[in-house]
Amino acid sequence: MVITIAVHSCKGGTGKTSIALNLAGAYAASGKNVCLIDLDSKAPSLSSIFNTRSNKWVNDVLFGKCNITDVIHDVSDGIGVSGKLYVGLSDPNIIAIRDISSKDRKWQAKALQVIMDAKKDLINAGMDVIIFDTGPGVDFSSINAVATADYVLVIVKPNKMCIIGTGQIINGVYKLLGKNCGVVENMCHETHFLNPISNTQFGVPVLASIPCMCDVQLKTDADILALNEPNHPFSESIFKIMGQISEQSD
Amino acid sequence: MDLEILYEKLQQIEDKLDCLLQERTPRNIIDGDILESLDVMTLLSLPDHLRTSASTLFELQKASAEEVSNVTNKERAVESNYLNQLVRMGHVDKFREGRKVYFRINNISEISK
Repeated sequence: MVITIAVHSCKGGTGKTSIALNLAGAYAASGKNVCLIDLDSKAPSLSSIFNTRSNKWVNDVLFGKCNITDVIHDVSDGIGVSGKLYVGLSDPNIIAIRDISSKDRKWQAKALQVIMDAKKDLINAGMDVIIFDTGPGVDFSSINAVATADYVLVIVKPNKMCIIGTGQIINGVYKLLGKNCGVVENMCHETHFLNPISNTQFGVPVLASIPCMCDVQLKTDADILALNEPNHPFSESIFKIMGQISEQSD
Repeated sequence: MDLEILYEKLQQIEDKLDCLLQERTPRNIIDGDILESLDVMTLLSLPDHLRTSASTLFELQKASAEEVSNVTNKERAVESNYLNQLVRMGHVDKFREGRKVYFRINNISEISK
């Protein structure tokens, strides 16, 4: 069964991109054909990790200039995966960011349809798993991705502001759109493990509580940690999340 | 007259009235309000029953009331009523292909290059 996952959070800096990237790697390592799409077009990150020398971007798809299959790149070679990993990158150029940030709601209404069409095209191209790395908060670009996904993986940093915002976004967005979702607590400090977020707090399952580890940021800056160090506690959490999503979706 | 036939006739009258209204009303302006395309924030603000119909139509792209009702598990007549409400709100387009009536999300503006 094909699944489209939006990795989202109510605030920035929760580790969405690291989790989306490593989850994509984990699925590819398990033999799946995976496509990771950067839909954080206002603050794109994946282009700094994958040096594809691309001149075609996800932005071009949103502007109706080409198809999603024209802008994805096969990055499977040499990363040790039995499946395939493709990436679609957002243009990191500031002019492109300014351009897309200035679009109005009519444009965003059409963009929603474009993303839905792109999902269908990726499924027809043989993808088993599509992962959207989204921007934070309630914004047209991020909620368009959420609306298109089958499953929302919401990343929470265990602080009061993020926890309150996550509850709001689950009840005020994901549930209204009828989305299946799961929570990942990221960057948890030791004291948090005494009082972790429970499965009943948001009414959706907590898939993993990932401890705060200084090396993760460095190691996920240029590589896929789940593939390079599968026994790292962060990587183990990623594989656990992948298993839990499968259980929840079956 | 059988109630089912009566209902079908009423439905046909409603469809024809909707077509007439659409012809007389400038696209996306109804009752003096300028209506927007159906964006995701508008979708979120719709009542539950209309949001379900609209979300399903987003996925199906073009569908009859019966096709939408097969996904939403509602009666065809109920779904037809909801879809017609969305048409009157300007969020959904209604059109005929032969004898069959179809609905699709109303994308008023094409993406600007």
